[in-house]
Amino acid sequence: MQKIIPYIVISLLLASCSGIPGEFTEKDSRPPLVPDLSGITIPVNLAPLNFRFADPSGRLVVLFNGRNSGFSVKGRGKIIIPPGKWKKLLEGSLNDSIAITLFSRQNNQWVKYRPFYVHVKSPIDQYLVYRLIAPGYESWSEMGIYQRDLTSYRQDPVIDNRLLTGNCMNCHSFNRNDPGQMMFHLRGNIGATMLVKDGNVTKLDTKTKETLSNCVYPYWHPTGAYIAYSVNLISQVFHTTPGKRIEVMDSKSDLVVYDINSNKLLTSGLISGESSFETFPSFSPDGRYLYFCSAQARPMPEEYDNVRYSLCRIAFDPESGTFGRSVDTLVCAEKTGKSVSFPRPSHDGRFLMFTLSDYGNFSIWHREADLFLLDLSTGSFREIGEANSEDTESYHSWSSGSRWFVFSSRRMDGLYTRPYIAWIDESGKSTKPFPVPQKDPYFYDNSLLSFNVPELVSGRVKVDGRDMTEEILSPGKKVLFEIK
Amino acid sequence: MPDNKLKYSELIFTGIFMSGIFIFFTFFYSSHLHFEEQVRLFLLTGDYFISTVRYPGGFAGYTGDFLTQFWHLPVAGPVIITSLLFAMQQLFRRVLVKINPNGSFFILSFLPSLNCAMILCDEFYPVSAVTGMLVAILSALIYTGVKGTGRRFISGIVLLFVTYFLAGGSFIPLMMMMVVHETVKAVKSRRATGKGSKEPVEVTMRFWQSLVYILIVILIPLGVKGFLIMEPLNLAYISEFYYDLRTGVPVAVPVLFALPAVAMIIMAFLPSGEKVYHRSLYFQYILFAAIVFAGFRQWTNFGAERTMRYDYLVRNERWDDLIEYAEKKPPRNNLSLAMLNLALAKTGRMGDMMFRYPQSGTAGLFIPFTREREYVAPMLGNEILFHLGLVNASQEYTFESMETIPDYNKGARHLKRLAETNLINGNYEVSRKYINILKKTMFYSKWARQTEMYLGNEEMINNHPAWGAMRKMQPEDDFFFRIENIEAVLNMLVRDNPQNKVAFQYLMGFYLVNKDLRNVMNTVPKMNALGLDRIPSSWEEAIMYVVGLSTTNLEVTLPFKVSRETKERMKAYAQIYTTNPNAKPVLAGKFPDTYWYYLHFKNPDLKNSN
Repeated sequence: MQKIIPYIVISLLLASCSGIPGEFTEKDSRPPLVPDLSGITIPVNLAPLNFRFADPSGRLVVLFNGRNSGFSVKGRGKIIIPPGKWKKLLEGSLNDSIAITLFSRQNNQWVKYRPFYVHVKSPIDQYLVYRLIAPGYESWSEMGIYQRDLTSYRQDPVIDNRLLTGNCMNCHSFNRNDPGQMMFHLRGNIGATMLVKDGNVTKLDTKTKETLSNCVYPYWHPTGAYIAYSVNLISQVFHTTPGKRIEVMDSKSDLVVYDINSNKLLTSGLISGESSFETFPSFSPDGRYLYFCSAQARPMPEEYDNVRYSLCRIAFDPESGTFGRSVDTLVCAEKTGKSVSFPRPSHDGRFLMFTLSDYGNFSIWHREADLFLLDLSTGSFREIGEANSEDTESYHSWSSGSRWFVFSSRRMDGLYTRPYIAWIDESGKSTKPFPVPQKDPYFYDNSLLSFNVPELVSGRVKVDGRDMTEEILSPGKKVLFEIK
Repeated sequence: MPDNKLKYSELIFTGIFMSGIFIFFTFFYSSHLHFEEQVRLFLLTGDYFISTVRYPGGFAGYTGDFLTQFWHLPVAGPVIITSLLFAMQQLFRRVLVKINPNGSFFILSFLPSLNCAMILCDEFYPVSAVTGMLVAILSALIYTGVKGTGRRFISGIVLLFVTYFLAGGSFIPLMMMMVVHETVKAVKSRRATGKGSKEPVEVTMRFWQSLVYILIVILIPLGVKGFLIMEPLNLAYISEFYYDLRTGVPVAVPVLFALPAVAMIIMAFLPSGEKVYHRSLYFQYILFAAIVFAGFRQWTNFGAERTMRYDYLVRNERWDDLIEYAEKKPPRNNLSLAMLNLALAKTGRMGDMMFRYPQSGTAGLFIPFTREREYVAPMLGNEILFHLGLVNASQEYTFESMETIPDYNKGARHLKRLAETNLINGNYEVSRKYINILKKTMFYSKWARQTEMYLGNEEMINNHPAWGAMRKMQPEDDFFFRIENIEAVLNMLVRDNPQNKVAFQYLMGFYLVNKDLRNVMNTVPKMNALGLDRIPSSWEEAIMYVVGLSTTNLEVTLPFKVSRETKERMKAYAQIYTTNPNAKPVLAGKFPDTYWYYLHFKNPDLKNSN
């Protein structure tokens, strides 16, 4: 009771001066909002969570009450929260909660819904970097890699195909959320890997005669001296029955580690064999292990739905760039009957998050794909039920402090991928996720672009397409190959 | 005293020119307009307005797209185009008068409008190119009307910035018109002061003024590119609203930009007195007519117009109209032929009529998506797949087409089809997204609102004549679709749904055009499930051909009922074919639309499986 008293006091104060209806009926249910905000946990530095009400034309009054302050907002069908008041409210509610009470005008009378609470926790990395592209098949229209300031709604291109007309770019990756250490791939007639480090831009030609393809799925070594990649022969095929659209599969795949200083791709027979598919590498936070997904090689596409990837790891010595002599299996596909993709260890080394689907590795096209969490200290893993939905959950990444994670989900409509954020505590318990807030509550309804590969970064990416143009148009630096 | 004859000449010329434009786009080029409209998506929302006008030239783009949506209506497009070109001519006439008031050369004022009319014949030049030029000419008119060198200088700078913001690249022709205006005035001023006398300050001022304008035109885009918008140099200067393909700037764009200034320069050199040069008018008429003839010959593409007409009729499911149109204007390419074959299949006439037209193998039945960033083939190809019941494949083709629309826009036609395919597949929230977007358009909102009622209502969808049937036609077992494996795909469709008439006709058509008679004979018995009262003629002809290979007795008992007429014709055909050493021209005259003639003389590269 004591906890609620300040909210009641603030509410009464607000009620006296904010146009809150004098007469209303009470409804013992939470208001039908998009997005659903009840019970979510948000970072203290988050932009206002504007939302819309189920009835798009109805008048609304909403009270936002913190322990020490509050304000009200009026709207018609949607609520646009003043950024200044929101910021102040959040800062005053750190490690506490905000009560949100909504009044809706229905059939010429006001209805008050049951208040709900939003919990406020520590700040999240200020920027989110993602690729925007239509969730199509093989072609693309306007697309690019963009950075979004999570404390406001500002979105700027890092690089897009307005600048590089007709080209495609993908697989952006940062070293431990550092905006100054970035790489991404360009596709098309200027295809290459672009590496940004210490303010320098380098264009790499990563195809060697010894490897299957150009470098594909990346992960930085924490020292910034290496980047692990998969090399894959990827193809996509198209289903004919209503339940499924696309299947993306590897017919061959191996792992390599790019040594930035020596400009060499390093590998070992244990991670680049013919008998198995290896993909989605990621380094442990101490840099001494390389996690990856591995499946027994099968004829493709004939046996596409029998390929199941296990989560494995191999030791890696950053000093010599050599690999261990054995591979450990952490999550065995034979036991789970499922397939692992996107292993991502938290930066504190406590957990490893991965996606689990029925088969294959391109989980974004698998409705059953969900997020799982492996406790690296015990080796046990569990579904992150708090974050998952009936639809696809796929790519994910950790915040610098390992207390927030962002992931892509198709729960809104089953096709367009949206970035969701959730809090996770020291014991690995997650909270209910929320979509990255947008200024217009109808943004996601109208947007025809998917948010791919959401990556949190601690600051603004300063090297953008303008700075890279000259390097992009020059020939790429040819990388070398070595078996360790 | 105004010359009445000249006045009437100008009136009549204007009337003829504008009527010609209207008639041309109404009766000879309307399918182009319909085609352009469907691959654009204009939303009546504030967000759409802001997202368009935030780029330099966005206002011209917005107004261009606003007007293009009316191309959906039969005569609105030609009316709007004619009005725009008339406005442009009238404004430019006033600009020219300030250079040289002699009315004998009024025809020069038609040049920008004529040029715009010509480029509109190419579907890659949007209407925003016209609205952009209109903004530039209007700005030029305002500029030339400002009195006082200093005030004009300031207004010139403002107009350059405003025009760049509103109309993008057309600030270049504006600058050129301003410089020409200043130069002509300076020359006149110098002439007025006489040789040897000191150059007036005004002349020097005009020189520096022009230099500043040129510098502004060079610097604004560099500033925008450097600090505001990440884009290549050509987009920074021209903007994307003059030509749909962003990969380059065609010669037509610099010509479009230079023409008003060139016309002004010519005007400056022509006599400026009050004397009317009637004879020169005749010369101008002839020259103008020659330009019209050569220009339209260069810019029009009546082959594409015909294909677009086929596409228009398919899109609106006017199958009988399409077959009627094909009688008058037979297909000239595989796109048109594939559309015609679809109409024949939809009306159940493929087996009877397909060989009346020049078939070209599988390429005339299906339109493959070439994966070469080309949007027309998959857009048309999706129609065939959709009506076959291959909803996922139709969706794939539609999406690929939408993502390869040259100006990076979305197409209303594409969203409509995607709303349908997702509705049929039960993906209601995705369908709702497309429907909600279409609800914000002027001409698709009614359809969107009606379709919205079907969302989530299984019973309504199952009872819908098209969508319900489509659900029943879907393949039962999943397989990977590849157009290269279309034979297997058609067989699966027929196996899963023997009543799928369209698929069955296509399967038979596939075997027939590929001269695969073994599979024709194997497939014909399956037609019983279709409940046809007779065997279509080309199928009968194929059957009789096979019979004829093994026996001379065409009255042999067959498991199929072949008509007497076909048997008689077969005898007559065989008689000529076997006895006449020069049979081909004779048979071409007597039996051009038979399967036998196709089998013997068309597409010899296709193997005869027999």
